[in-house]
Amino acid sequence: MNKATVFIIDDDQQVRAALSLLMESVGWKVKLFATAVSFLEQFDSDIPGCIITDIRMPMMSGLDLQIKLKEYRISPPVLMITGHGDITMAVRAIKEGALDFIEKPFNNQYLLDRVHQAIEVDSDNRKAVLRVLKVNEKYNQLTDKEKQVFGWIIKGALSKQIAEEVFVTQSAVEARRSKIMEKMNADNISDLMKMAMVMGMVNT
Amino acid sequence: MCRFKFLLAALFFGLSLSAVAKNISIAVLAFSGEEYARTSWQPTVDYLNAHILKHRFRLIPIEPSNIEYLDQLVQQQKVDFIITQPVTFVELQVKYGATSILTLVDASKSSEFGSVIFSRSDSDIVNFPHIRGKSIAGANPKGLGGWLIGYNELKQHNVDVINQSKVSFLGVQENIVRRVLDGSVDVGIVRTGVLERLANSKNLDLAKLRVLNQKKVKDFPYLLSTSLYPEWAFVKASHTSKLIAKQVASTLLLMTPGSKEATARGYWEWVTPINYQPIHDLMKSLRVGVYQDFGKVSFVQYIKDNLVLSSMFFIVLIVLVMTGLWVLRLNNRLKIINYFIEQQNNMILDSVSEGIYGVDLAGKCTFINQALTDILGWDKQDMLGKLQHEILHHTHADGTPHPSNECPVYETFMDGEARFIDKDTFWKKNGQSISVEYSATPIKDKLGNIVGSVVVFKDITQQIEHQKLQKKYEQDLEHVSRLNTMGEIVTGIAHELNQPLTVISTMAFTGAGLIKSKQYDADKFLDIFSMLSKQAEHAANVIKHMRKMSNKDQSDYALIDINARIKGVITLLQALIKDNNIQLRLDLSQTLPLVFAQAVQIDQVVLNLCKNAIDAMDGSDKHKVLGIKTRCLDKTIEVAIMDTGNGIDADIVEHLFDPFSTLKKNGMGMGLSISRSIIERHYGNLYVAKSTHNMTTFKFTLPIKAPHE
Repeated sequence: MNKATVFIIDDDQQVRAALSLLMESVGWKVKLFATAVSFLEQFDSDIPGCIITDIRMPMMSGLDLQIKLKEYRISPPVLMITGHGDITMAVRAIKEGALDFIEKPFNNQYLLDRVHQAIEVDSDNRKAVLRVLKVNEKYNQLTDKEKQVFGWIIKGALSKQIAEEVFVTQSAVEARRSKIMEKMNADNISDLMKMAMVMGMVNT
Repeated sequence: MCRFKFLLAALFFGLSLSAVAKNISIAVLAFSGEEYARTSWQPTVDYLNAHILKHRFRLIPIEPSNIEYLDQLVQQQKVDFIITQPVTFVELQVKYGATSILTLVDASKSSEFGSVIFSRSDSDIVNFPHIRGKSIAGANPKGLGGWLIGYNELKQHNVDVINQSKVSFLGVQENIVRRVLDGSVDVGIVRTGVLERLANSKNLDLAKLRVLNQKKVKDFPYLLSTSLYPEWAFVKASHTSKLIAKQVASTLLLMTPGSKEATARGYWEWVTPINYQPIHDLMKSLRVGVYQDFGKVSFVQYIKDNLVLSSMFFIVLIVLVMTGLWVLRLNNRLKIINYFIEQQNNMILDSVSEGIYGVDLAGKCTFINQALTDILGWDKQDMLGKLQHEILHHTHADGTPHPSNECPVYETFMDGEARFIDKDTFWKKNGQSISVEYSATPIKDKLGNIVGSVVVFKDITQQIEHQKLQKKYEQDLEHVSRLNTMGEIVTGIAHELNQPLTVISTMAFTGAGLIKSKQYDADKFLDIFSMLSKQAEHAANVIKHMRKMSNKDQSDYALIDINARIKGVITLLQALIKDNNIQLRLDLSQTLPLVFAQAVQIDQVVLNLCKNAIDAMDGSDKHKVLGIKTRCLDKTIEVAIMDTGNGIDADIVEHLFDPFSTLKKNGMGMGLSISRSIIERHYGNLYVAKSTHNMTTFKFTLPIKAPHE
C-alpha cells in the first residue's frame, strides 16, 4: 500500500515551496504541481492522501479540477486555498465536494489539522471502496443460478417460496443456499444482507 | 400818520393866510428827534417871523430816517429853506441846485468840525496802521463827524477799515466812547467836541483815551484827528426867490452872537457860507450819496463834450473790435478743431486697456495714456520728459540690474525693427513689479526718419498666475486619475501582497515547527530564510510602486529604462491578470536606449493602457492575451500594448482621447486624455495603432534624445 501523499497545486512557485516545506516538516510525503493540468496528467487514484489546490490558476481552475476528479471511483479529498475571500466561490467549492476552503494567508496549524483530517477521510474512503471490491469479487464467483437464489434470499424469501419461484425442488434451493454461504464467506443471513447493502442491492 | 395830519393842518393854515402874507417853509433835519428839533429851532424861526413881517416862517422837522420826504418836498417846491448838515446840503445842491446862504457857527465859535479817532490810552494802538485788524466803531454809516470824516482820513492813510477791520455802528456817539473804554471795541470815531462835552457833563477822564493822529489847528478848540469840514448850512431851494433869501440871510447875520435864540439850539451865530467843496471831495472820495457812481458820470460827460472825436474813435474801435472778433472766431474754431482732434486721440489712447507710451531718441517719455497710470501708478508728472528705462525697466524680476543698452525699447529705434517681447518686468510706482508683454514699434516722421518708438504693453501677471494654476490643476487631475486607476486595481494589489505574506507566514511557521521537533536541517533553514527575505522584498517592492503611483508630486525628469517601468507596472497588475485568466506576453527589446522622462507619469500611462486592455477583455470567452512590446525606432522608442478584446468602433476611436469619454461603467473618462497629455508633454505621441473586432493595439512613442539636448 502507498504512503499518504499531499498533492500541492499552485501556479506560484513560492507558495508551492512554502507549503511543501510545511508538509514535509510534519512528515507528509509531498508532490508539487504548477497547474491542474499537469496534476491530472500524472494522476494515480490508487495513491492515498489529499489535494491542496489554489482556486485561480491559468488553464484549469481548482474548481474545474475538482469536477474532473469526480470521474474517478476514488480520489483524494480536496482542500481549496485562495487569495480572495470570495463567498460564492467558497459555496461552489463546498457544494462540489471540497473538504474545506481556506483563505491565504492561512493559519498554518489549521491547515495542518485539515490535511491530517483529509488524509483520514481518504483512508476511510479507501477502506470502504476496498470492502465493496472484495464483496463484488465473491459475488462474481457465484453461478447465475446461485445469483438468482441470492436475489430472493436478500428479499427475505424462505426456501419453500424460492423453490416455487425458480421451479426447482426445495432441497435444490437448500443446496444452492449453502453453496452461496460458502462462496460469500457468510456465517448467516445477516452477513449476507450486509454484503448486499455494500453492493448497493438493498436500500438502507 | 401823525405827520400827515400835521401837514394837512399846515397847508390849511398856510392857505388861510395867503391873502395877507406868503408862507415860507423851513425844513430842518432832526437828528435828535422831531420834538427836540421843534423846541430847539423854533426860537430861530420865531426870530425870523419877528423881523420879517411880510412872511410867515414855518418849521418842518424831518428826521434823517425820513430823508426821502425832504427830497420829495424840495422836488415839489413845498419847502423854501432847509437847515441841514453838510452832506444833505451837498446832495440837495447836486440834485436840485440848492445853494447855501449861511453857515452855522457852533457854541465853541467854530464853523468847522472834524472827527476824533481814538483808542484806550493803555491799548497798543498808537497810530493809524495799528488799526488794521482791530475793531472800530462809528455812529452811523452816513454820519459825517461820527464816521465818514474819520473813515476818509484813515483811507487817505492807506488804512481801509471796511476791508481790514471789524466795523460796527452804535448810533449814539456816547456809546462809542463807552465801548472803547470798556474794551469791547478797540477804536472809536466821534465828532469833534463830543469828548469835551462828555468830559464836562459826565466826568469822562480824557486821560483814559488816546487820540490818534492828533492835529492842532489854530483857533480850533477841540481834540482833532482829521481835516476840518464846514458846519451846518442854511440852504435855499432853487425855486426860492433871491429876495426872500437875501432878507433871511441878512436878518440871521444880524442876529446877536450867543443870543437866546441861538443858544436854544446850542449854536453861536450864523456867518456867510464858507466853501463846502471839501464835503464834495469827501463824498466823491468815499463815493457816498449822490457821488455813489462818481467817475462813470464823468465818462458819459466826456463823450458828450467831445462828440466828433468820440464818434471817430468809436468807428475805429468798432472796426478794430470786429476784425478782432473775426480773428478770434477763426482762432477759436481752430482751437475747437484742435481740441477735438486731441480729445479724440486722447480718448482713443485712454480707452484702450493696454498701457501705451512714447519714447524719443533720447529715451525720454513723450506721452502716456490713462491705462499706463491705471496699471503702473506712474502719472504724466512722473513720466513725461523722464528716461522711461530708469522708471519702468531698470531691474529684472530676479533683482539683477537691466542695463539700458539691452532695453528692447531703445533697440527698436536703433535698428528700426518692431519687436514683441512676450515676458518682461515693469516696475510700478509703489515699488512692486508686474509681468508684462509688449510691443515696441519705431515712430517715423514724414521723411521716414526714426524719431522714437511707441510701446504698447499688457499686464500678464494674472495670465501667468492663471497658467501656474492651470498647471497645478492638470497635475491634480493627473494625480486623481492615477489614484482612480490605483483604486480600480487595488484588489489585485492586495492579492499581490497576499502571496508573499502567505509564503512568509507559512515559512516562519514551518521553521518554528522544525525547531520544536528538533529537526535541525541546515539546508532547510537556509531555504526558509532566503525565501523569507525574498518574499519580504517582493512585498516591499509592490508597496513601493503603489506609493509612487499614489504620490501627488510630479516626478523629476530623469533617464529611465522603459522596460523596467513596464515590469514595475506589471507587478501591480499581476494579480489582476491572473484573476482574469489573461495570458501576459512580454516582448521587450533588449537594446532599448534610456529615455529622458518623468518615471511616475510614464508608469501612469503604461498602467492606464494595460488596465484598459484588461478591462477590454473582461467577460470575453476567447483566449485572453495582454501583449506588451517595446522596440527602438529611428529617433524614438515605441511601446505597443495589445489586447484580444472586441475592439473599438471607428466612431468611438475619434473621441477616445477626449476628456470624460469612457467605455467603462465606473470610468472617470480622464485616463486616456491625461495619458495623451503626459506623452505629448514628453514630445511623444499616443494613438490607437489598430483596432479590429478581436484585437486592439495602443502605441506610444518617446523621443530618445532628451528635449534639452
